[in-house]
Amino acid sequence: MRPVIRDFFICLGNVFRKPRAVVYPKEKIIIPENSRGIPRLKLDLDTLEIICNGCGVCQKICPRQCIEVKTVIENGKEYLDEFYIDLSKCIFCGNCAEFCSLNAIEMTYRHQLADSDKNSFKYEKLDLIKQADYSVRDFWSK
Amino acid sequence: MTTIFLKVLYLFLIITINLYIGAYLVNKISARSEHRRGFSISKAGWFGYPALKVLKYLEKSYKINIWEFLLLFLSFFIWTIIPFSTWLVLIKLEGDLIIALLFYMMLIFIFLINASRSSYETIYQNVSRNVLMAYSFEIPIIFCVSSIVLINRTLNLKEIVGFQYQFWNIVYQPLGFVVFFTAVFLQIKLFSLTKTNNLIFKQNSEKEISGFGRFIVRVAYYNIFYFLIVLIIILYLAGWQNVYFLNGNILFILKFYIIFIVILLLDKATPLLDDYKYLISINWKFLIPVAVANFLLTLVFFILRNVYSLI
Repeated sequence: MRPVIRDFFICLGNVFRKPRAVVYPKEKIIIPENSRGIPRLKLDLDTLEIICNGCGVCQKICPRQCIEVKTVIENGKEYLDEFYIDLSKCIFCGNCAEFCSLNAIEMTYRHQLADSDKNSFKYEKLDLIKQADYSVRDFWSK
Repeated sequence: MTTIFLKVLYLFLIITINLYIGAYLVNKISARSEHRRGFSISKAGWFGYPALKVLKYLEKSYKINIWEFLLLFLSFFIWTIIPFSTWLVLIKLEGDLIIALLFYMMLIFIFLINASRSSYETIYQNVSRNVLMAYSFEIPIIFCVSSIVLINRTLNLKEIVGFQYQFWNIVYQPLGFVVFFTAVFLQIKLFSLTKTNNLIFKQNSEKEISGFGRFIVRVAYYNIFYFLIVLIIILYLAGWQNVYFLNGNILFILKFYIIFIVILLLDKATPLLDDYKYLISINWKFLIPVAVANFLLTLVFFILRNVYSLI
């Protein structure tokens, strides 16, 4: 009899609590801390230039091989020219951010990527720089 | 003539509005107690969802057979002898308590007849088991009702409410109330209002269950549910009697919905109480002995008071 009474009051309490299920497009939830969304390229805050030097470690370490790095040599020094990432293949493992020696890549909190066009998942260098907004843990709505 | 027409109209309105609210509450409370949302996902909203559900049933199949029609008709007809207030009763009878109980038993039996049409063996087996269990829960109910009749010395529901002007019957019959409430709750649990029927998923019987006939069976279940709750209120909780300055009719509605919600939550709190052996053991080891003891105790007091005038 005691468990029945206990469960009765648990059910009664649940009626007045906020439901855990959310109505997806209308309502927002705060996603957990340290969750991995799409990666972004960091900027050096002093010079406002990309930190990445195009060493290509992320390209080698990526298990899905969705990163493509192209470099250009100027004055005998190697610079980053293009940085492509195919998010339709990406599994958000975070290896690229972890193995980067310069800490030039960071995982943002953005994970809401639904789109009807497959080509829209292919991000370029500029697109990846623009993701800086999503590095702050916030609502889904962005 | 006009008063009867008015009464029928009032009764029909009361029952249909409460069916609508009940359908909403059953789904909403069972969802909320499990941290789910309920209806808000649907575009119809909370107000339109029960109507949408009726249309869904109609969309699948609109054919009904004669037994389903009889079930719908009789489940509404049961309200003709149940008084809602001193004025709002259609047929005035002396022994309407017994007739109501007999009516209820007959209604349950029609479920069995309706299920016997089924070409699926398991449906008939399940419903016949449920009906058998519902009948076995009638035994403690009859003992409890006899105790009430001994105290109030009448079989008329209206007079039973009238006798409770000073003290409610729950004061004289606390054990009887517990047994009656448990028996009613377990009977309602047998009809599985809040739970989805496993049969629908286990067998390929969607076609048979999902049509408008299913809607009628569900309305009949709701009517039985309401009938049993109203019986609890009339027999033990003084029906429409005023309490000090509080209006009796409003109290009736309040009592109804409090019991309704308590039963729904209890239904949610006991999800594993579907085992027939367990239900039988509850009936034989708790409900019937307590009901009989309560009846004998009442009988002794009745004899001491009325035959020997000792109390």
